[in-house]
Amino acid sequence: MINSLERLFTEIIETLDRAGQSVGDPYARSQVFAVIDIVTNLATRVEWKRSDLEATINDLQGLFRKIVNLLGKKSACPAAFRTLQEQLSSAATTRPGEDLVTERDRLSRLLIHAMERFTVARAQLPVTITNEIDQLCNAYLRRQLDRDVALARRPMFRQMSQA
Amino acid sequence: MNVESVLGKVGKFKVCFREEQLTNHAGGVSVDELAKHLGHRQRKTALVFDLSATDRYTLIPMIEEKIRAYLHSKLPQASSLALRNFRRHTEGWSWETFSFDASWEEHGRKVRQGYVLRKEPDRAGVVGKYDTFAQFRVLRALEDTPVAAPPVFWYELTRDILGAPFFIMEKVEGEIPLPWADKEHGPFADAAEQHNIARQFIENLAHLHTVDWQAKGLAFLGAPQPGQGAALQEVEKWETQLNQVELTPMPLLRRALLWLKQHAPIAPRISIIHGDYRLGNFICGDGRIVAMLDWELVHLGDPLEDIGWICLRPWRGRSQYMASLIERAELYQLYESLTGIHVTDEHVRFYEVLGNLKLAVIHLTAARAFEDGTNPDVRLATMGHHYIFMLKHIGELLDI
Repeated sequence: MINSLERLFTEIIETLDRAGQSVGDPYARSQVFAVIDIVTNLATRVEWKRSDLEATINDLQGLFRKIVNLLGKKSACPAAFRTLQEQLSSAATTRPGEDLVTERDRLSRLLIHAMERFTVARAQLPVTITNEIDQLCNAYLRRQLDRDVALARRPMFRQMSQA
Repeated sequence: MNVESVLGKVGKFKVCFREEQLTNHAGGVSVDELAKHLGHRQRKTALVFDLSATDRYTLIPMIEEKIRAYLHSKLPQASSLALRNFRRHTEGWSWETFSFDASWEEHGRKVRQGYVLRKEPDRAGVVGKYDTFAQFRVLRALEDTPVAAPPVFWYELTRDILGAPFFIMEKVEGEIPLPWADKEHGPFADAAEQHNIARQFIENLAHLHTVDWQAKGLAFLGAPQPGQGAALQEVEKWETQLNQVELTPMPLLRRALLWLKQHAPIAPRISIIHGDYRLGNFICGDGRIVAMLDWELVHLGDPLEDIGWICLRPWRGRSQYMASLIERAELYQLYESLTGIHVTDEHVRFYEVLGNLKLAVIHLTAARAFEDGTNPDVRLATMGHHYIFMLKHIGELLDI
């Protein structure tokens, strides 16, 4: 889910409030407002699951360590990749702070930059190295996708399209 | 129109407008007058009027009144003009759509006509920038072709009449089959009906792709460069959109973009591309496809882009049929026989990857509009997690 919790909770509460006023049955209406009451109080207590964010961050750091190793010693690393190697090395060892969402996004941006760099300057590395880096990146993307898909529930398109 | 007559007409609605929009919609009733009578609370730059919710953001009777006045201006020969069955459609999540039946007297005879009005939304939508003029011009150009497209009547680019540009087309009667239909055997009664509709679906597409768009004056849509130009133009379009809307970095989408730029196919020709050609976007009546709908993504490009879109997984429902209609091999064969355009798996695969990326970006655009507060429809927030299914399909196509 990519929207902020603050925005999601604000609009969930507003929507339930409007919907609740349209409910005819008094008992059903009371249930809707009880739900609003609970959700309003949940909103002040909830944050994104730290274990999911930590798993992604650890996975990215592990990926970066492997890529750094494949690029070899600093002196042997092609000039086109030296800055990237330093960036990946630093990111692989930096301990994340409290804001795990920001840290995950920072590392994801670095991965995107790395993939772009490996595409543009591919010819400067041996084919065996670039193939292995591709496989490592794909494997990470696959694991992240599997984690995200496992959390997703079946969309309610039909119900949402009716009015 | 005074405040009492507004309340009398609309009952209790809860609406949320920016101040200038409320003035436009309320037919000249000032914000201060409504606030004084109804009570309000401030939220960001909008005023929320506690009228209770049936139809958020639109005061239906006011819209109806304005449309009636507009029709009068377009039909000066009409007398006793009346509108019936006026309704707002909530099925779509982008444009605002209204349908109604009009009747009037003209030179002593009674005339009846059904209309559909499509208005650009006041708030941000799901496909980025809207273009009323392009849609209208394309539909007008298709009127004397075999393409099943609704005839159009008028368009307005001014915001003075309804608060946003709009166009009016013919109301076409029929049903819209959907991929997520409740019926036991999918959207169609039986295999024969499915086969019949499938054939027409591809025939209609073939007609569209073989229209001489230059002769029809549609070069304004922006013809891509020959060769890989069509593919690369679309990749760039959706990459630009992604850059504008993404809330969090998306490594898999960026990986897909890298692949797309390296594997752009050569277009066999440049055609009019519908851009959203699928089940759910056409009306059927008496066993015939009578109109293709939702032309807001129309552009010039590689015709196989529409074929790739048809093959996307979300349109298959629970079946193995492309767009819940036709097997892939049969789709290729029929399309080739009708157009002379050779279809290969590799070419279509490119456009399936692009199509999934495009659909993901549309989802992210919706989520961004929700996040920014420019569109508080919570259904848009659901797209902030549904996009993951498009990423899954991209992963499968690229063997990630």
